Amino acid sequence: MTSENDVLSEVVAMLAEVVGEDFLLEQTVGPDTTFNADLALESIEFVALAEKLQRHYGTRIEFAAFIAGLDLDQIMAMTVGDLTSYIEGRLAASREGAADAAAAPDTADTSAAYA
Amino acid sequence: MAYVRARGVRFHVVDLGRDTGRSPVVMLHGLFTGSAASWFFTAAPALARTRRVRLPDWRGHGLTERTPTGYDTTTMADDLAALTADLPPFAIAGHSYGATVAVRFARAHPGRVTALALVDPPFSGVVAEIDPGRCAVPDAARDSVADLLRRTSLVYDLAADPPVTAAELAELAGLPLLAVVGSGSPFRSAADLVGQALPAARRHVLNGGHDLHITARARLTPLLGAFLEESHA
Repeated sequence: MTSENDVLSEVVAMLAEVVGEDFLLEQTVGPDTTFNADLALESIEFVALAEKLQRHYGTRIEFAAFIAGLDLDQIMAMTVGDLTSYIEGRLAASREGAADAAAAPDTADTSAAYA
Repeated sequence: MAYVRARGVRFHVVDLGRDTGRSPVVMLHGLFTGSAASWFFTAAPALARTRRVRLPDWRGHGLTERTPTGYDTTTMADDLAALTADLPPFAIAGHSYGATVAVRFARAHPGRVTALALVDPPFSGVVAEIDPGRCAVPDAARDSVADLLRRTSLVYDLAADPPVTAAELAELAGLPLLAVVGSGSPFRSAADLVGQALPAARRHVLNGGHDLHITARARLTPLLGAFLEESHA
């Protein structure tokens, strides 16, 4: 199980890989930190972070779909918390999906028994 | 999504979406402040819902190696060929110089391109008049722009590169082609050149300047999506 703190620390660790540990020593990164105004993340660095997130969480997240649903103002104002909330939501949905899939064979067995 | 070594250069290329029955679309950014991010945060995510999208960083841009030379359209069209060698025939959407390279690529590799969308293509020969200091440059990007200007042959390559002509565009007849220009762009007349050369091409003028992918994102994105669908790309 991935707790909310775990997602935040994973995102911060990947951010450090993108911008460098030294850079993050000068900043405290929390849910309210904005990528653009606070971290001055270049847009291509944000792409690099997105690639790391996608690689790390795999098909459980769809970063492109997340971005497609936002307008540019929302992207420019995005906070670390906005990103971690999206990831946590997707991870939770993925766990529920896995639970449903695990439950499905029981249903099939039941209908087979009645057939 | 990865780094690719091609033609002796370390390129950064982003892939979005997945293979479907439709052609992939390769989206090409413009020079200086452009990068894979230009499309990544604008039209690419929406197009990636229905097809594979590839976003290369040109040499000297984004996370691709900054080579001292090779910014002419012939070299960059060869770069594009290397970075798309694994793809089936694909559509291209190119902004600015990315559109110019796309035209050169489509002429050199006619069987490889299924549709061509040109977004504010700089066909009117005023590239040298563009002052990077006056463009909407994020502060963080200025250093890399300065490096491109001072440490590479880019501006010389641009000046020496032959402008796209009507005759050259006419060779693309038969290829579904869309030209979108900004109402306030210095390159607005490119749409007229496309119209002369290719009367069947679709042309649109959107409110905005040169960076339509950003400032007209909400209009341009569905326009590109519809064009790709109608082209059966």
